[in-house]
Amino acid sequence: MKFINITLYNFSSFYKQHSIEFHTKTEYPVSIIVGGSGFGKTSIFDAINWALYGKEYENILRIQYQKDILDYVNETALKEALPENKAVEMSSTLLFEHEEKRYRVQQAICVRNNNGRLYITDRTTNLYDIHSNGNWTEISFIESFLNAILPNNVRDYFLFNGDRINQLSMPGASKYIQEGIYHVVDLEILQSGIDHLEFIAKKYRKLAKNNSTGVVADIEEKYSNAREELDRLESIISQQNDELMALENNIEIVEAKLREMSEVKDLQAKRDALKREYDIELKNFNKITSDLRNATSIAIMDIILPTLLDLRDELNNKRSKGEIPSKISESLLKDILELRKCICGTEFEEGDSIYQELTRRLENEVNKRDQGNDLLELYFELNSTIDEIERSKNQVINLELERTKIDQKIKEINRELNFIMEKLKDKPEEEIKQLVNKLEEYRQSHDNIILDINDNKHYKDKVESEIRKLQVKREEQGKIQDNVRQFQLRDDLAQQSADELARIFKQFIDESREEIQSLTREEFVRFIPTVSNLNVAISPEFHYDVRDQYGRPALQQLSNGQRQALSLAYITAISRVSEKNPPLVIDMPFGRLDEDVQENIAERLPNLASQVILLMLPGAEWNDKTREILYQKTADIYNLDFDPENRQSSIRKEK
Amino acid sequence: MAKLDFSNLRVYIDDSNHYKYIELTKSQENQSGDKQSQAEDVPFMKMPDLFVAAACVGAKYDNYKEPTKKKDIFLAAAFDQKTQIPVLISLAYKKLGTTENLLEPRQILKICEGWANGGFSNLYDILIEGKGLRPLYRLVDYIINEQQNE
Repeated sequence: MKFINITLYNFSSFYKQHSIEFHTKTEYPVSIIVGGSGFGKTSIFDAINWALYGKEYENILRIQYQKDILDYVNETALKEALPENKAVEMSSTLLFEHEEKRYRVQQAICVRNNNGRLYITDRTTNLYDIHSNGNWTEISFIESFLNAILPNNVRDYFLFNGDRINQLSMPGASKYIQEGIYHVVDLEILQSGIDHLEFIAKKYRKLAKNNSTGVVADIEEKYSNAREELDRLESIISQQNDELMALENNIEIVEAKLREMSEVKDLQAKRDALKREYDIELKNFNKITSDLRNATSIAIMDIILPTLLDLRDELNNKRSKGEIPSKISESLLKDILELRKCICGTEFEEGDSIYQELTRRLENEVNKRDQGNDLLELYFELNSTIDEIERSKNQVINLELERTKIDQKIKEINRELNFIMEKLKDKPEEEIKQLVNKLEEYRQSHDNIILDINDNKHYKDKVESEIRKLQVKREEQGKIQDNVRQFQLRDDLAQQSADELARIFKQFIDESREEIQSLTREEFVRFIPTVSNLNVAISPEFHYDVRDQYGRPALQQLSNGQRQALSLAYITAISRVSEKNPPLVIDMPFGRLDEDVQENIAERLPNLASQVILLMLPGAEWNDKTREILYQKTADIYNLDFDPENRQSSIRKEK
Repeated sequence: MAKLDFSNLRVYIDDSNHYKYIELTKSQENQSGDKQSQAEDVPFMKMPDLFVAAACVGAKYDNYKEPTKKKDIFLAAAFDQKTQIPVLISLAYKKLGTTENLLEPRQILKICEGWANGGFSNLYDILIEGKGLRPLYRLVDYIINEQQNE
């Protein structure tokens, strides 16, 4: 997808018609629009979004920015229309190319003033396929057509403003990060598949229930209820996990505020240090617990050590007597068969009865030799098994001692953390008190919700266990009623397919998350080379997890500029993974960035997409340095002018 | 013992214990703030580990009981060759009392299924009602106590 031009008509501060052409090509992928605050940069950004997403974007404006589309109707046009109560037209028209074809999408509204209140009298949305001979055809299903090119849910990752970057760098961004990963990699198709299969499973379950009688009906009823209960629990657990995530975000926000307050900076720093220590000890504890489990599964064999020793002694006995492996009889029989003469002196010929009997005995001896060899091998293996059990047993003893020590240490750290919390609470400043109380409140809710989740998970285990039992009964009893069994089988098949698809879905999410994580890390270091000692990860819960070289959490230590660079790195990663290759439109890309970071990002921006449209502030963003870097890659530069007297913006082409 | 072929054999337990086997080996999702819970409450990584532990406990208390309603739970090839197979052979030896035809895989498994079935309830009691707060620590406590009583 590539934008060709955008035309605004009575849109915001742009009175009558104004157009911007985008002449970007491979060598010059960038178009730049420069304007001061209030000059209409964001209006152009909104106009592009409105042209593409119409009412959906109006909803976003309403919810996220508390703005109504009527607020965008040009003031001068309205004033002119007022005496004769004429309707005012406002529109935004975007011409774009997609897969070698050209399209024109337009949103237009007509507005009238009724006693100081504006209302829409007419609305049109058009999408045309423009043919190379100048003809055009109208496309009816605009929404689905545009959604196929650039779905609304990924819009935020290609058309984004400074606020968005800021949001992504704030604590609590996990929800946005998760949304990005879910949406951009097109997983809705899989989710729809799961939903569809679950719907089918439910349908057949219902049919099985309605068609069954007697004992079968009873089991079907129970099975259906258990399945519903499982769905309910999964939904509750998912909601509780979201709540947990939100609480963790809130905790992080309060902690960050406390960190910035000079009165408690020292105490908060001490808390941070203790929390880092706590995290390290907890990690050690988990590792030891896991090692302990591995060791116990071998060490438990120690309880039958006497049996192992008995067998080993028995085998050793046989070994010393030469019974294993036994080769004496075998050698003797071979010699006799070769000489064709028995020990008693009887001679025999190949094929006669003595020869056959001796051959049979030789075969038995060969078999015995194999067994003897195996027993001998068992003897040696038993020795190493006994050693391994002994070693594991000692390991269990040592690990348990270590675990107890770490457990004590964790309790000690907790005591110290509580002590600091008490000290924080004793501070006379009202604001601090409020923050600490808030923090405690969040932590309490956080702990409670973890308990609730655990309870629900245990309950879920029980329900799952009940379902497995009922499945066995279902299969047995289903044989009584063949028609019911058919529905049961279809239900099972659909449910199993849904479960398998859900497993693949999760795997896909994990893989996508890891890919985005790796690209985010790569871009982040490109933007700010000095952070190469930091390890950036996106946790399975979709939090940024930034660690220093010692593995300590370091997200809070990032400056505002670094955080923004991190968000930009994430957005860049998303656009690279998505493979949708739409234009990248960024309103105020360098908002809060330090100069050196600006330079690094400016270097990278032209490579991020085949068309990059940047809306920048003069000075803070568009300055000598960024101009020097971007100029060579830029196709167009537009300057926005603003006349404060009649409050109108205009567009001037510089390059 | 390269010639002992367990590859196509299945291991059976009593159907009534199947859910408990799942319970004691079930891998759970980690959840934030409580990541050690899996190892603490699920003391066995795999079913073969649990089966061998149950068989050891059965042999220790001389509690041999063949499963009545059999349920296959895993392939015998899943047993660890270095530790678990020699231990299972030793448990078969305890029952047979001789090394004659000891290395017959089907027979070894059948005997061990009897020990595991007999010992499972003892092991379950240790894990659920033993000393300590969580099943894994109860098992650890049991192992350490047994070692001290030797």
